[in-house]
Amino acid sequence: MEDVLTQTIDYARERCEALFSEIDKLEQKDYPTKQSQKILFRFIKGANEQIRLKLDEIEKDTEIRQTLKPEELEQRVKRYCKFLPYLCNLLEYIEGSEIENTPAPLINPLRRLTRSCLPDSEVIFRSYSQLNYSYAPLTRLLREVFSDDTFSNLVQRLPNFFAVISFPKVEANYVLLHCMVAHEIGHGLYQEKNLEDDLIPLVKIDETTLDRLAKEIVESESNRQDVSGKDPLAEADVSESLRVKGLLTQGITKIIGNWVEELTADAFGVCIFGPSYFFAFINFVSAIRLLQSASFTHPSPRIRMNLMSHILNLLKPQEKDESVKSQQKHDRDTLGFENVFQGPTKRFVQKWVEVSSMQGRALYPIYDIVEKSITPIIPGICSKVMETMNGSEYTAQKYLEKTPTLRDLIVNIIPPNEVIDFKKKETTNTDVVSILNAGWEVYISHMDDFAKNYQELTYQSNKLKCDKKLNELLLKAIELNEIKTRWDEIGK
Amino acid sequence: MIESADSLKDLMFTKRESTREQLIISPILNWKEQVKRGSASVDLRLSCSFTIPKRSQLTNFDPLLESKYKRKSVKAVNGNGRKPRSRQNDLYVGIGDYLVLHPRQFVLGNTLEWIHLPCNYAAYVVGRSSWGREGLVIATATGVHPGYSGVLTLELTNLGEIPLKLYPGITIAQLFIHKVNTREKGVWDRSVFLGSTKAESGNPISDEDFFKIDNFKEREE
Repeated sequence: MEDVLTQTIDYARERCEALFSEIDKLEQKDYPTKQSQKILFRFIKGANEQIRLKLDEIEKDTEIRQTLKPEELEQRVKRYCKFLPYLCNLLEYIEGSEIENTPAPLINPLRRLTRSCLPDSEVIFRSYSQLNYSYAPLTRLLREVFSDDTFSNLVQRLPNFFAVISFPKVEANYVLLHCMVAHEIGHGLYQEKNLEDDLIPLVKIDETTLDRLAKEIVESESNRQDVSGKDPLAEADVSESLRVKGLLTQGITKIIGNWVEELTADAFGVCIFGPSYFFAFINFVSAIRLLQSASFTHPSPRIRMNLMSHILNLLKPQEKDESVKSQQKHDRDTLGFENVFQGPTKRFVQKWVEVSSMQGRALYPIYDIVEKSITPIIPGICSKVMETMNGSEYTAQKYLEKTPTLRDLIVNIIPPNEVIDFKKKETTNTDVVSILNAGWEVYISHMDDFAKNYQELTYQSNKLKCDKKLNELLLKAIELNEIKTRWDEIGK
Repeated sequence: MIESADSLKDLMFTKRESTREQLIISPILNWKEQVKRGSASVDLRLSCSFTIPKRSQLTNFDPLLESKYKRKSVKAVNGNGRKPRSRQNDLYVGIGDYLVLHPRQFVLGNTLEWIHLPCNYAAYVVGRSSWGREGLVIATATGVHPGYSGVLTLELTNLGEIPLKLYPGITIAQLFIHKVNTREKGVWDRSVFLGSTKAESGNPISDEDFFKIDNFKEREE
C-alpha cells in the first residue's frame, strides 16, 4: 500500500507539472485585455502550487504516514488532487480569450461598457465552440468549489465581481450578433444587485392550473395502474394529489427563479444596448430555436421578445433630461421606440412584436404554469430594471439623435466612429452602442444602398459578401472609437 | 495642385451635398501634430493589424492558380480542387505593444486612419523621412484613386541593417492630396480594395487578363 501511495503522489505531481507547463505556454500568448487573464492565471498557478506543497507535505510527514490508515492517506491525497480537473477547466477560459480567438478590437470596448454598468468588474471575454452566449460568475463559482482552507488566501484575493462571458467562436467576426453580450452583462447586474430578492416574491403561482395539472397527473397514474392491475388508487386520492402538487411546486419555483433571471437579463440587455439587442436576439435565436420552446433554464423566445418589446417602449427620455424639459409632455410620451422606427425597420419590429404577442401553448404543461405565473410581473421586472439603470439606459431619443448620421456614414462605406460638427469644425466620438444600433438599422433597412455603394453590387445576389463587409466596417468603427477614447483619456 | 494642410482642414469641415463627396480622414488623434500648419500633407499613423507572409509553408505565389481557383477551374491546375493555401497570417498588435521588423523582412500593415476621398480628389502616400533614414520603406504602390474609401495598406520593409520596433499608433506616413480634373461626375474607384478595414493582399491579375494569358499558355501546349 505504501508503494501505491508513493506512486499516487508521484502521478499527482506529474499532473501538477503538466498544468504548470500549460500555464507557461498560455502566458506567452497575447490577449486583448491582460488584466483579467492575470487574475485567473494567478489563481490557477497559486492553487496548483498549494496542491503540490500539500503532496510534498504528505510525502515527507512520516508521522502522518504511520498513524493514518492507507485509505485515510489516500483520502488525504485526493482531498487536494480532486481540484486539478477544475483547474484544467479554468484554462479553457484563458485559451478562448487569446487575441487570435476573439475579435480583438471589440474586447476593450465591451470591457469598458461592462465597467460602466458594474464598476470595478473584471470580465474575461472568450470564444468557445458552442453556438451560444453564456455567463459564468467566476468569483462565486471559485469560492464555492475551492472552499477548502488550503485555498482561502487565493479565494479572498479574487475581485468581488469577476466573470467570464463566452460567445460562439464561429460567429467571432459577426459583430452585430455580439449585442447578445448585453444579456450576459444583465446576468451580472441581476446577481450583483440581488434583484432576486425583489422580483421573485412578486410571482404568484397560478394555483388553478397547478391544481388541474396535479389532478391530471394523479388520474393518469391511477389509470396506468388500473390497466396494469396493480394497486389501483382511489378515484380521489387527496394525499397523492397534494404530494404531486408539492413536487410540482418545487420544480416550478426553481423554473421561476431561472426564468425571472433570464427575463431580467433581457430587460437589462435592451436598456444597455437599445433595440440592437432585440434585433440580435431575433437574428440569433429565431434561427436555432422554436419560438414556443421553453426549457428548465430559459423561457420561450416568444415571452422574451414580448418583454423586450415592452421595455423598448419604456425607453423614453427622462424628465431630468435637459433637452426634454422644454418639450411638451405629449412629445416626450411619443418618444418611445414604438414611434421612432421608420420604413422597413418599423415593419420588421411590428412583425416580430406581433409574433411574440401570439398566444401559444408550451410543449410541457409545467412551462405553461410558469408562463402564466410570470407574465403578470413583466411590467414589474421592466420597472425594476429601469430603476436600477437610473437614467443611463439607451433611450429612443439617443437613437433618434445619432442613428441617421451614423447610418449615412455606413451606407457610404465609412466606419461610423465619429461625426463631424461642421459649425464647430471638430469631430465628436460616438459610442459602441450607437454604432451597433446604426449597424442594425442598415442591416435591416439599407443593405441595397450599402451593396450598391460597395462595388455596385445587388444585395440579394451578394448577401454574404455585403454582410461580411458591414460587420468588418462596424468592427473598424468600434476599434477606432476605442482608440480615440483611450487616447483622449490619457491626454487628460 | 496639392492641397495645403490648411485647405485640407477646410475641405474636411465644409459640408458637401452628400457624404460621398466629403473628404474624411478619421480619426485624427492629434490635429496639431498630424495636420501641421505650413505643410502640404496629413501625417498618418500605423494601425494594429499586420499580415505576415507564411514563408515556411509556401513555395511561391502563383497568381494564375489563385485566379483559377476564384473561377472554380482549379482542378485543371493542381488536379485536386483544393483551395490554394492562404499566403499569410494575420497578427493584431494592440496599441502599447510592438512588432519587430527585421532587416529585409516584409509585412503588410495599414494606416490607423480611414481615408475617404471625394470623386474629384486623389492622393499619394509616402513614408516619413525620419523613418526612411532608419531603413523603413512603407509603400511601393502609393496612389489612392478618387472615391476610395478604406484604410491604406502599407507594404512595410526594413532595408536597414538593424531590426526596427514598430509601435501601432506612431506616425509613419504622409498623405498628399490633390484635385483631379475629370469630366465625369460621380464616378469613383470601385477596386476590390474598396472598404478595406485591414491589410489585405490581392491578386495582381484581372479576370480579363487571366483569361487571355491562360489561353495563350494552353495554345502553346
